[in-house]
Amino acid sequence: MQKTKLIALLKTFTKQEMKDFEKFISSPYFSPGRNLKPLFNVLKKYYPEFNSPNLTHEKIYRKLYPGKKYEKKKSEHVLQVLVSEMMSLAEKFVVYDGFESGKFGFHYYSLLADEYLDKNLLDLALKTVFRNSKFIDNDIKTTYYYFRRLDISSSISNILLLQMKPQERIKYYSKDMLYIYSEIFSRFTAFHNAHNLDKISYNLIRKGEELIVHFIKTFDPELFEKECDEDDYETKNITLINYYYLKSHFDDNPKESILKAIDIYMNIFDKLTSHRHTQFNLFILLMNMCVPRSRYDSLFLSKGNDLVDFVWGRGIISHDIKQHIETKIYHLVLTFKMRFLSSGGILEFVSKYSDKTSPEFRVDIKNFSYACVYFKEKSFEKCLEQLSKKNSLSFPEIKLFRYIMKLCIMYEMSYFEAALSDIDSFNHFLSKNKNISVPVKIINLKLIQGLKKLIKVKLGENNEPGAEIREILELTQNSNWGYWFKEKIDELT
Amino acid sequence: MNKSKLIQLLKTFTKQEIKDFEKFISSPYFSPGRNLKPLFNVLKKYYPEFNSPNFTVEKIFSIIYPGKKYDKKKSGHALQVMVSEMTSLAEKFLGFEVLKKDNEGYGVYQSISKALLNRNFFVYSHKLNLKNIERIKKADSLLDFFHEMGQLNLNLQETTFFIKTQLESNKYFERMPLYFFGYMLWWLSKLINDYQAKAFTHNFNPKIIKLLEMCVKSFDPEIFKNECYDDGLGTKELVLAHYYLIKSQLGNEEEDLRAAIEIYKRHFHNFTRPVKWGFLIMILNICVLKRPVERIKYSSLGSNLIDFVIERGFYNYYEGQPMTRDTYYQFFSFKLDVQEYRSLKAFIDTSLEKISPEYRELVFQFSYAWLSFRNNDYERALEYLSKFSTQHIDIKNFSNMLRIASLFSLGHIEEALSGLNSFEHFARNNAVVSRVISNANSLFTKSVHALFKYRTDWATVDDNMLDKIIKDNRNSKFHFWFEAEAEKLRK
Repeated sequence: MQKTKLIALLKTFTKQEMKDFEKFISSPYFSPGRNLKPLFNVLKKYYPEFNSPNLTHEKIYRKLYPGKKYEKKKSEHVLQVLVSEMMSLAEKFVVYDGFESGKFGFHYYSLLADEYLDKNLLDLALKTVFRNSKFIDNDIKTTYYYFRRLDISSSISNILLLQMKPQERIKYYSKDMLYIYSEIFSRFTAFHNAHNLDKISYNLIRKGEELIVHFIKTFDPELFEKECDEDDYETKNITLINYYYLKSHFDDNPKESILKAIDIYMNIFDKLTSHRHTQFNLFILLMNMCVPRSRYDSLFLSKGNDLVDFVWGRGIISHDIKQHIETKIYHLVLTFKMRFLSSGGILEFVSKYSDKTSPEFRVDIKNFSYACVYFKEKSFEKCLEQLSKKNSLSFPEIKLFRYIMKLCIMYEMSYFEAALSDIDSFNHFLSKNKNISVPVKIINLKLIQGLKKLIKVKLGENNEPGAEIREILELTQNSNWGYWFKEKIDELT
Repeated sequence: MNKSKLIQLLKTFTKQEIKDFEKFISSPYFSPGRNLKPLFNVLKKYYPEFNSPNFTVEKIFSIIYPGKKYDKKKSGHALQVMVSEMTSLAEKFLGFEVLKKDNEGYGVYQSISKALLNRNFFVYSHKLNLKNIERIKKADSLLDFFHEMGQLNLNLQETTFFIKTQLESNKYFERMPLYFFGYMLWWLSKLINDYQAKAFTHNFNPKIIKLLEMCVKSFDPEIFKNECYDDGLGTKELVLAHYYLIKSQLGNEEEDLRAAIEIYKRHFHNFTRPVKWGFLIMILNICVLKRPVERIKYSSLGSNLIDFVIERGFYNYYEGQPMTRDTYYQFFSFKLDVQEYRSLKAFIDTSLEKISPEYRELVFQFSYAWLSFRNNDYERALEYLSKFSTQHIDIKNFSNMLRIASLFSLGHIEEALSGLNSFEHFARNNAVVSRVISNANSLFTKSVHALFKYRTDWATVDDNMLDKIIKDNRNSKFHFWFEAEAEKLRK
């Protein structure tokens, strides 16, 4: 009995849901004809664990039918029928409850509007569609959101047609085109990101990317700007940002696209005040455009920095006002800033934002942050002290960064032999660890190779230091540590 | 009370819905706390008309609260609260009812699958999603095929990832381009078809064409063929068919339209009913739009397709339902261009059996008016025409022309002229009529005016002018009539 689907589902119910489910099975509208209340009354005694040894077919049967003889085959069959019917009701309940609590609100109002249309109640249908439009006003702007906008625009258009108002309908045609494009780019972005992630993580190459490339290359943003009307939700501008984001991946020279995307974003930022989620999601999208490229081009370093100051300076540090800064994002921004800010600048950043990180990790984040400040300050003893403190931040990016930082400190403190020995064990760790993606492995392997060579140059163990230096620069320039290696080479030359 | 939203809603309920609604309001799960059963018991006595003189706030109050004094303001307010709560329940009821009925419960199962996924029931949710693919195939009112299939594949990718492997889940993910390009092209073809059909009958011009053209140019069918996987349902071909359909509407490529029709026929058995229906309507709309330029060619294309679908018993969006009046009108408009008297009569007679009984009489009068006209039996044509009226803009126009032409041929010149003048007035002053229809109306009136002139003054008959009338009307439904009348005048 404990292993039935019904029990598995009931285990997930909250107390309130159990109460509501009780009402649900007593409702004649849903009743399958059989009275399921007695079974529910027995089962609810075992809620929420449902792991009592008494929860057996026989015991339940005896409680349901006191005085009746229990015959394994026959009685179990009777019980199975009841359980199956209750399961079917429980499934319905989770759906209807979703509607009641507003989780499936959009779907519900769409169905209602369709029903009004069927009944030729056109005014009511139109009102319901407008209500639905309001309902999704604060939704997160995902692909599904644009699908819903398109659905709403098309429903309004359809009703206006039935109301014989063709002229009023015109503007909705244009809206349809806007939402088609917004949905296309949103879908493309999701597909492209997933495609890239799988390429990096699982070495999976999928078909389909070529279609997107062709689409992006033939899209004319100027024509789109001219011919498409904006709606009340900045959809047109957000669509253009998505377009420039995708274009930046397929362009030989992505600079223009990235700068345009940032420009549009900053211009519409204040208009999105009631859409914090969108403000933040677009920020992450743009940072993802700037961070990798900042290693080749200092313009992206300063643009990325401006972006962080602009967005975080306006208090948008997370998706939700109640949320803290995500540890991964804090790390991304801190390591980004480390590349060009002085220790004073880093300290200012850390003092301002480390307290806004998740309380669960705050102490660890602070330790790590001050390690960064001391590193920039060249107070390496203090930095090591911070790094040696117990740290529960287990994200591979942070772990690897700390490891490299330690190796750099060893170099700075001239512990060359210890550094070389640690480099070997780090190399071993990287080669064996399957959780680290290939590109991340490559970057870190290059870094330690560069560090090995740097130590050799420093110790004068190389006959051609010039060639070695060039190689070091090549190996390390595309990493977060490029600035440090350059600084060390400058010191040597 | 009679005009309240609640009564408006209840008036549309079927008997079964009234019964179910009674259970609904008695269900503790939906109860707002107040017992609405007494109010319902009173209201249902007035169902379905709700127009009895006893149906007043005061009467209802006195039945619900016997013995209580009726105070207009206070009692009215008490009743208003109950009515408002019942309205909200009636709305909920309708939403849930349609959810229950929707495509054999597709909506419910889709929602169950989502709800189960939220509770981490991966295996169970996975099974429901697989079943839902089967439901989509059988669905009879799900137009959003591409979107739903895309969504189901995403869900399946997610559940497969949890219960199997990343590699296995990949097979669902790699179908995504198929569905989102399908979705895009389906929307575009729907949009352009709808827009052009409306622009054909109504006078408006939204600025979407350039964007639409750009979108279509951004799709490369060759890359699509190489880069997309199919799902075994003919979806890849369907996407291409939509592409050809859009192209045929943006340009004047007959080949594109033929390619789309070819795919449609080849995969007819594969496509779901709503897809089949949506596609058929789009093709016929394109033929209608192109008929003013090359009537016989596009009418033949449409007529052949109509034969193809009727042979397969496919003439309504919903399975087992009669042919609607509008579908019949559209089919008929193709047939009258290409069929001779006997075959047209056979088409009308067999179609009449398939039409919904309440429209059978109207359809009969209209069709037989045309058939008699084709048979030069103008008296009878006028008799049939006098037996119906319609607001359908196409049919109204057509019937007016038919009447004027019949009167002319019968020699009722004054009546015909008066009909022509009022038709001209109607056509000129109707701002919502599109330029295409307006041009067609104007050509008709101009040509008939010329015939009037020649008929009243034989001396002015000019062979060249008669030839011009015939030439100008070569793509009109009345071309044969103009030919015959011109011939009479020449003699």
